[in-house]
Amino acid sequence: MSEFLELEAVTKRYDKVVAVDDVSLAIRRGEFFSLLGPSGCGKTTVLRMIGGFILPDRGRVLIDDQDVTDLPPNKRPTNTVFQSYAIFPHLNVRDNIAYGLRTERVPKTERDARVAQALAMIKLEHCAAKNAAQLSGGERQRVALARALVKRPKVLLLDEPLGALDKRLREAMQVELRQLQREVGITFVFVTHDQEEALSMSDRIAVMEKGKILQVADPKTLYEAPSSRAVASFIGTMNLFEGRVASVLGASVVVETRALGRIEAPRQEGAMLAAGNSVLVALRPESLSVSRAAQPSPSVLCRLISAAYFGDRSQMQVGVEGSATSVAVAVPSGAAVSEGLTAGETLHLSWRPDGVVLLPAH
Amino acid sequence: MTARRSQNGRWLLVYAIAYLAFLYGPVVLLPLFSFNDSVFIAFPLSGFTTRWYREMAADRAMHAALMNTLTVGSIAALGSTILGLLAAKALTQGRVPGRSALLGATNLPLFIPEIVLGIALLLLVTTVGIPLSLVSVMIGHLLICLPFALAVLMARFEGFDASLEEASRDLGENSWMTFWRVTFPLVLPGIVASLLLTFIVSFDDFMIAFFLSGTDATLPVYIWGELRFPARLPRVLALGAAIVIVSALVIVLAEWLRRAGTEEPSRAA
Repeated sequence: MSEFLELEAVTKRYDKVVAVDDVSLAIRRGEFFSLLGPSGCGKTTVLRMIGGFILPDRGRVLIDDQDVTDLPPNKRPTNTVFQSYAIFPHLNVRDNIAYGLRTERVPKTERDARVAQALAMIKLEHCAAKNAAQLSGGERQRVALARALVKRPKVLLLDEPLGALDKRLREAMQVELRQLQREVGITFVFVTHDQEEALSMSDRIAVMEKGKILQVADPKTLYEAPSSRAVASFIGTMNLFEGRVASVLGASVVVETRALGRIEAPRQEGAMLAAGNSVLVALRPESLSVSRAAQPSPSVLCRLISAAYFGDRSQMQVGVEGSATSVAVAVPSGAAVSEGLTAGETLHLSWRPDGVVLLPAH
Repeated sequence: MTARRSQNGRWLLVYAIAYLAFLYGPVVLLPLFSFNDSVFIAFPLSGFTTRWYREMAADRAMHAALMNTLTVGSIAALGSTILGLLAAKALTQGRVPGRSALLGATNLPLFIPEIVLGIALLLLVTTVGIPLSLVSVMIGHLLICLPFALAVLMARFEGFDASLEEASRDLGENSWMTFWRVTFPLVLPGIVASLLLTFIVSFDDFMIAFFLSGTDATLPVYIWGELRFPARLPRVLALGAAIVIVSALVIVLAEWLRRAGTEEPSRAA
């Protein structure tokens, strides 16, 4: 696939703090790409370097084979949806959307047509003459989107655009934004700290921490086969158990753990493992199950600490001997075990063998 | 309880009236005696006349002084507002090392006694070799107007979202056009307020102009000169009354503009 937007070993430091540390990325044409990480991880700095608001100390930025490293924002084929939306308060919705077209000196008839088209796209035709102050948060967000897209950028940059919206509107906008991206086919680079948002919308995600990229992968791979402890614990809930490789048998690895005993895991492609290596055994809550009766499959005894009801499932915390932290187990609603539970009750904890992921110990 | 409250209310009313009388009484005396048909400023009044206004209107020296004041005031207002605009933008949006020290330095003229400032400026101007003229007065007024311009404009910039300028750059506009299409319309009410305020500061000033004006008197310096001649005092009162009325109109206008600016900033462009 063609690499459309490339960062080559970019670094940005502020005084002593390295905001972005030797980051390289290759984003494909037409991709919905997310930069995910906790606040202060450098994701917004990366986005602003693509947009031209921050110049990297070292490294290069290429868009569609053009080196844009030293170009100011107004000379780049990128447009941005800002976190605050930055709707011009002295202009109405129509003039906000037309702002960038006036800059380009697009003839009036074409400009009017493109603005009308953009208004139709965001379904805000009836708001064309309104001022920013008269718009709701969701409407502002759409105007910001239309104002950027009407320029037909090669890359659209979105800086946590849904962060200010309430939960229901945010979920509706996630679907809408994703649909819109498929329709216009423009490359989107989306910054968020919300892992669910990133998982549900993106083609691929780069997980960042402390100015570095930990892993770049599609949502399914990130969730099911994270490459490190940091990625595993940032995305969703992950139970981690320390262990040591007992033996490697073809496609499977046997690991000796204190908490779960001997556990068999599928061997990941390219993983270099040998008997005696320290590893982490990672299990998602939904790969675990609890029952009152003993199971034929491998299981250990555990003690129920607490249970929280989420409607479609309950999340239980159980204590296992040999594990310092409690273990999270997702139990689907309607399962027999969820009736009449009492804290302190002893249960059998078992796991799906194909849900076991091995991670490097450090 | 109710009686007590109403009594308190009455005292409050008395206080308010006394306060207003104290504040505006002297100002009312100006127009009163400016229409009094006598060179002596004393009660009882001796009759109505518009003579002093006619004399004032015919006074060539007064005209020259008024023109001097208007020229100096306009240039000082424009100059200090432009400098204040640049400084306020840098101080609120940029990363300026020694920000508070810089702010303190620009505000210094507010705290130095005017007479000291006047002497200092006189020394500076004569040392550098600028002749005492309207130019030297303008330089002095630029100095005393700048803190006011900066205060008004910084308040306007504090509430200014810098991402609006970034959005303009992002949409393809260069920094010069971004200033005219985004920054300027949004800070315009502040600019107008700054122009009016600094003009009044310059118009008001006597001390600096007294030291620096040489033979080109501004209006306050001219009035000071006229006070030596008792017969011309009513004419000065007529001038004073006219200034009070024009100032009041300017303040009403400024306040009206300021409110228009805050209620509907969207129409500022």
